[in-house]
Amino acid sequence: MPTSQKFWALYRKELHELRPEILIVAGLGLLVLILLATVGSPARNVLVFPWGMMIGLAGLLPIVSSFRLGREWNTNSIYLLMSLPVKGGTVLGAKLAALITQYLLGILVIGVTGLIMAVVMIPDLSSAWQALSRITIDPSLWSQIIWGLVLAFVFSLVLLAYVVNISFFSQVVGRLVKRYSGLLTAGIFLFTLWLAGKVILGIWEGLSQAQFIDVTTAPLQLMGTNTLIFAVVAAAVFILTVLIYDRRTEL
Amino acid sequence: MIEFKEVSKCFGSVTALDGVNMSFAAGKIFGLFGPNGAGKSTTLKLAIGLNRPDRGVVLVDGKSPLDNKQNMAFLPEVDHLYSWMTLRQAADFMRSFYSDWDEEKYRELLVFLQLKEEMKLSRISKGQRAKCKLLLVASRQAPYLFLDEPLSGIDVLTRDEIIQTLIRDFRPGEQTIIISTHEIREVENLVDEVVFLDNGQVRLYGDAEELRTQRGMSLLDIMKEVFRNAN
Repeated sequence: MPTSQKFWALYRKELHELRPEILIVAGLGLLVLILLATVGSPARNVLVFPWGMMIGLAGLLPIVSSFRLGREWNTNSIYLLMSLPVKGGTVLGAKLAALITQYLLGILVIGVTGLIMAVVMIPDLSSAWQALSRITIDPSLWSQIIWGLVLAFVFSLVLLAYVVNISFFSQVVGRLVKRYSGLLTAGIFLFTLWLAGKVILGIWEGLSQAQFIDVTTAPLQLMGTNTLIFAVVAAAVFILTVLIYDRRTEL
Repeated sequence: MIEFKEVSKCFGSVTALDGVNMSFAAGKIFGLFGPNGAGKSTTLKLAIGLNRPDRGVVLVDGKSPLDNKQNMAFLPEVDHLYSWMTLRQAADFMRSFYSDWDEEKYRELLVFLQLKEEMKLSRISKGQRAKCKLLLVASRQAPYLFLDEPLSGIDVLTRDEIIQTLIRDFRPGEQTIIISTHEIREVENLVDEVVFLDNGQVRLYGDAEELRTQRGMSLLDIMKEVFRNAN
């Protein structure tokens, strides 16, 4: 069987298990839209708060969900998972991909809800847009704004993967012992988060001293470098987790 | 062939297997017998790669069990399937991983075991769950089939169905089945060879029929005698 097919089966299984969390954000979005359609004009402005809450939920829920890895042990499904002809990279990769999908679906719900809210709450939206487009802005600034938004989005994805990988790492290491594995998982999670932060700071300092990075340089370049550093550390944690899962984990 | 060479495995201060040497020739049904804590489940978990030996080596067809997972089907004692799945979803899931999945056999066994694909695994009885687990491993043409206490806590009728399924689908010479159980009476006539384990050591092993003829007693009585003498 091709690895892609096995990955897809695991990914679908993970998405199914994440359905409740996905539905929470979608349900909240729907609730905001229903209230938007039913409440009067001044009260509508209050809806910005639940909408803002959705942004937090969309970012936080995948991280909370990532701690479900331990449930594979609690429910004995780890027997099934570990007896499947797949390596740890496929198992954990499918879990990570599903969590990223959960995040992207949350962002989509927020985007669509926000757009509808803008259309309803700003009655003169078209004229406001026309006024905005009449403002002369340097095209290079536009390009910087767009790149900044894209980078911010990519950084949010990388940051999610970074925290989720640390969560996976702590759970896999925590399960190497039979007793106090929950306590150990929590301790390792906090310690790894701290250590990875130190590593990132170290890389920054190293790059600055080697004059690869100039702190006075364009913010976009700094943002891009930061994203890259986080991505490298996240990948390193993922690889380490896979190695431990493949070589040390047993029942 | 599965070989255990000087295999030891400890869990903390408990020795599950202690320098065990044994081999399981291809194409036969083996009974792995012994009381609770004898090391039966550990033996199976080592054979499928869910545990690693502290000392010694386990080989499946000359390779590490981890490199042979495609050829092995494992039915653990615990409920290991995702409880939110229906039987259809569980079968779809398993089908995605194994090229030896036999759809025709799956359909036949569904009818034979009186199971329905719509059954949700969390909402069925223990006996039905045991049959679902068996269905999912028996629907494959896996060269190695490991069954860990497949009859534990199951009613008499369901036990009979499980045993009949194993007899019906066994491919002598092609498939190796290892059944770990302390319900010896139930599988007495099913096994070709037996291994009696106690306190992590092999007390006796050999051809089931030869042992019965030599000693003039059933496998259950042989086990009682072996363990009585050992203790």
